[in-house]
Amino acid sequence: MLELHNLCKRFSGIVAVDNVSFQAKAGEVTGYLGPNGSGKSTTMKMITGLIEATSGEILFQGERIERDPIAYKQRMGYVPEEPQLYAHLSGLEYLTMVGQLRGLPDKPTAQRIDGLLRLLSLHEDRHVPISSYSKGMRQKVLLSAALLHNPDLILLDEPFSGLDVASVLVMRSLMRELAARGKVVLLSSHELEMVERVCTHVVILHRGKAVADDSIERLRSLMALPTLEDIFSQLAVEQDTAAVSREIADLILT
Amino acid sequence: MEKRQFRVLYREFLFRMVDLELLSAHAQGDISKLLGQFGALLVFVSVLLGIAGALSIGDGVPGIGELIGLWTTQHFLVATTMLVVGLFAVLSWDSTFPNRRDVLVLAPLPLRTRTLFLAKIAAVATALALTVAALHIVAGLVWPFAFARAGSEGAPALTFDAPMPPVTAALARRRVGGGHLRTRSPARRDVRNRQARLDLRNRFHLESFHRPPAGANG
Repeated sequence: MLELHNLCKRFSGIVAVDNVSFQAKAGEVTGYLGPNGSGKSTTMKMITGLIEATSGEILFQGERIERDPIAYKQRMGYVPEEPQLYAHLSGLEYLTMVGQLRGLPDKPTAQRIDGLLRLLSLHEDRHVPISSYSKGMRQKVLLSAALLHNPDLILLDEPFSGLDVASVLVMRSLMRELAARGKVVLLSSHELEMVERVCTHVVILHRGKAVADDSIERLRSLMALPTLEDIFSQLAVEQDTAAVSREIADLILT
Repeated sequence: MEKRQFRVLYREFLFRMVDLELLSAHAQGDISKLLGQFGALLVFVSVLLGIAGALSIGDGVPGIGELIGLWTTQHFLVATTMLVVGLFAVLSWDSTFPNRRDVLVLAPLPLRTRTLFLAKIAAVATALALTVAALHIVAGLVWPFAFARAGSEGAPALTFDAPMPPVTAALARRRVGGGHLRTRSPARRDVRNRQARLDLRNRFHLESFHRPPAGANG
């Protein structure tokens, strides 16, 4: 189980994440939602250990993650928001490098890489440099790298960006499958429909604060709203979206 | 595990030491080819310098003009090495420290900062050594033979800068040596050349005599 307790992050006085606490349990896909600039990616980076929290603590399986960061990272897989890869390497070379850096045995890892590339339709382009891959292909390489070592904790920050419909459907089923096999899956996304279909539990962030932390079913019944989009609009959207769109149309037509 | 991580990172950092976009705007990740071309260019320069060195190898003690030429070449080689090291620093500046991409790619992996740092240092040192070696691979073998002609006293730039001898002593030696050099035999011409070189050294305060000219003590 992943636990966040009173997590805060300030960037030169500006509060990005304000006292956020929630739990992501094994066997569940936890959705982490929020508008742009609400602090989702900052929280994800603190959970991966990319940045340090100003205060609060993050526990995985009851242990603070900074106690043994190497052991923690061996059990964690992360798909970042930006598809940053070594573009001069091919997909196969990149995944082999990640496997070697994770200390995985060569032969079984090569077989696993081959299998992942086949299942994600990258096998034909495995020797092509990543610099010529599309955004969706890069996303698949990142996903393969995150799952290569069979992690217990899977962190996905906007994993669907650039993926085609078939790949999105595969990803959706995969997340549910991984959760069903006892993994802790934390999914940060803007795509409410997708989150509603995949996640059992959601945390909604607004201006750095967690404004909702419950199962989707319970939120629906508590707020008497039919969809997650309605719940999200109620909790995290401040502007009148219809009025803003009318104003934009007026502005460009005058 | 750390040794393996070091090896993997070292190889990765070494092969992308020079920013591809600086070398070629159309580079599509073919770093080996580009580094090969860069190395070949340096070896070509080395071959040219080596040919020049081979042409200057001859018999006997060189004259003043040749000696000055050899010293100039020696300084040219040192200056060229410094220039290549400087160019290397400019080309590889972005790769010297971990960048944003390194952080995003490597930070989620179970790596120690120490391993990353050591791999970077080792890659920079290796690339620099290989660059200098490529530049001198031919010239470095040929020129020592050309410099050896300058006599057993050694080339000034590479020898310890000993204190200057008293001017009176040098003049006395010149007088004694000059008294024996009236005829035009080849052996005497060599002695005269040697005497002239020693005078030149004294004039430019380069170094003292290691050995007095033949006949100076007699």
